[in-house]
Amino acid sequence: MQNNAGVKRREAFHPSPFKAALDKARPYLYLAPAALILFTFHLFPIVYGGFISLHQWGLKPGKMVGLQNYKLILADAEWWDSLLNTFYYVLTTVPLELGLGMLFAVLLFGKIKGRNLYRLSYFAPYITPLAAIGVVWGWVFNYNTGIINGVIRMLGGSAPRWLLEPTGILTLLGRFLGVKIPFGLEGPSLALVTISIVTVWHYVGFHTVIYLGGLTQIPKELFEAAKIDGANSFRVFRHIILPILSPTTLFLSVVGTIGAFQSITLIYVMTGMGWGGAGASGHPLGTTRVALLYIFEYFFTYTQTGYAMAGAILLFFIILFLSLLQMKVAGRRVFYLGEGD
Amino acid sequence: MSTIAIKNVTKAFGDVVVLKDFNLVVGDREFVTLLGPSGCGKTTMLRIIAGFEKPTAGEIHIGERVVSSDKVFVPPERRGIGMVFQSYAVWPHMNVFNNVAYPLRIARRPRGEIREKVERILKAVHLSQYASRFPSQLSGGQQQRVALGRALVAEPRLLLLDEPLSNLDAKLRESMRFEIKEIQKAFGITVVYVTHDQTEAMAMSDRIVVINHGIIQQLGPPTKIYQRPSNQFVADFVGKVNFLRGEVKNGRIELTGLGQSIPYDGIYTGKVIVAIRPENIFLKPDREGTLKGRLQNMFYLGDVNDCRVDIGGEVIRIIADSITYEDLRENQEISLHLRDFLVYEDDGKDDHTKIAT
Repeated sequence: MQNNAGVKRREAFHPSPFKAALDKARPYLYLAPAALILFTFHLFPIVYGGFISLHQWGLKPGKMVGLQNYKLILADAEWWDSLLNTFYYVLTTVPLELGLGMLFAVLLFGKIKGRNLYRLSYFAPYITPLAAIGVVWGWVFNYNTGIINGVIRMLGGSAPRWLLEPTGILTLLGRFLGVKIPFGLEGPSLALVTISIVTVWHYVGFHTVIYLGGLTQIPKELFEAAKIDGANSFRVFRHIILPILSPTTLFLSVVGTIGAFQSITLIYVMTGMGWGGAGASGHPLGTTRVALLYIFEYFFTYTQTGYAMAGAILLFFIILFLSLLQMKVAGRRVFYLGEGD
Repeated sequence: MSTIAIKNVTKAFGDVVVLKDFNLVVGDREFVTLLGPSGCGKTTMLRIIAGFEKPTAGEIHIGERVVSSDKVFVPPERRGIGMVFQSYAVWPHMNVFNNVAYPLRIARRPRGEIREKVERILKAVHLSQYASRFPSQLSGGQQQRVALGRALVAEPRLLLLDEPLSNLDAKLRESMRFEIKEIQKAFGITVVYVTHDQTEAMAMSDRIVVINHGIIQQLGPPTKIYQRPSNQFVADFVGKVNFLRGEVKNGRIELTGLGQSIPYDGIYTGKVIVAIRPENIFLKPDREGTLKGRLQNMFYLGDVNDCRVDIGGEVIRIIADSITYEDLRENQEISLHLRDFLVYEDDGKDDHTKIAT
């Protein structure tokens, strides 16, 4: 092709080396701010935590001990108890949060009067600080002066010890029903279950709002098509809402599980304080001592940093494994609304 | 028998009246299209027939039964209808077979019957080999066929389609028109079809209902709607048209401000509006045509030559044989022959020609 005179051919330009280098670096420069934050606050602490866990490390760095900390912690019955408590806590909170969240979302999705007021009131607990919630609910469930026991006593019932009760919930139920519960199947203590109730109360608003968001994504036509096909409300829920919300459920389940594993504030406030100092948290009888509280104690109270880090790294891998497991198991059952191609 | 009778239906949302005193009777096995610009009320009318909206006043009869009136309201699932939506509305978590089988499962039909019916329907909508695919693995046209299959499987006597082809690309849209028409014939069902696409309406309908501002502008078969539009709105909305002002004098219409006239022996006197379809004007290189003009520009479209001609102050559009493109030059003086034109009384307003949005 002939070029017009005066118009230089593009290939004739030789960009300066500086400009060429800048062009190459440009994408990385754009990524840098986010990468810096991720590295500083996420990746580095994990790696550094792993590094510390291989040392005898108190307030100051000590000598390298290899996997000694891991050997010690895996041999500690209290660590395994704390993991069991954590699992109890996750299992008594996450499914309830998901179920109630979806229930409330579906109820609030309909055309009801004062819908926004309801939405706000469901969300309010979520935006209230956990420490404040712990104090208030600690009083509500107080054995002597709590409002719940006040009502129970007024009605002539025998008041449960709630946050003071180390006995397993299944054992208590068994006693009530006259069934003997075998050793090892006691379930979480009533104290831990009480905390779980408050946890669910706190988080359910978040789940409700996220589910509501998912519900509004469902095109109106899907409901109408179902109606024409003769599907009743239950079938609409079972065949449309539930499957189409499955990505939301997976997200909430993963996030909720991670959150439950990392929970400490509520537990610490409700059963940890005022019982002879922080060192004696996890009352009653250690039945509310979850894994993070165990780590927390070794870190702050006993200042065994290396040992605490070994626990933290183990917890990290447990959470990672469970998250991947959920995605793997759910992957086949999750459906995304799509246009097709 | 599946007829529909719409009697004096009015629908208002708050202060906004979207349908005014709507009357229509659809015969058994008839294909009727509600055609109009967006916001004209056509979809609302369809949703009232389906039972998703309740009319403010008036009655709906399907067959012998009153399904909507002041006292009666039959919900959608008990009206014996099938419906297809613009957005397909197929279940993303079910494969094609299960999507189509869904209405039968709800009705608790026996397994064997479900299999047999679904396979028959899948064959009719050309999806037999896709039975185990999920909607996300299908094209838009295939998804819409799934929706069509699901709407047909319970053997409704009445099928409602709400702009079912609007999300498809042009080529597919054309072939789907014929498929829908064929299915309608094969199944012997009554169809009410909503669209804003006039070619779609022309191609498929037995009768077209042209709607604007919630009022029926014209009701009739496609040929009548196109050749004898009852007002300027219909003339303008269905097909292409040139409007020219004029006045009837001594057996001719003198075109206002153009210094030209055309012969006329119709009923109107005084001020009129002449409507000429672009394909009814022929270009004559010699001087024997009714009107004369200067060729402003031409666009070669392959099958036709789309021209703009200045006829002394007004520019009109002419769709000519594509061969003329070779013979004509821009700015050439040409003579025009009119094959057909329509005349409307000029009431001084041009409301009809303005399409509501």
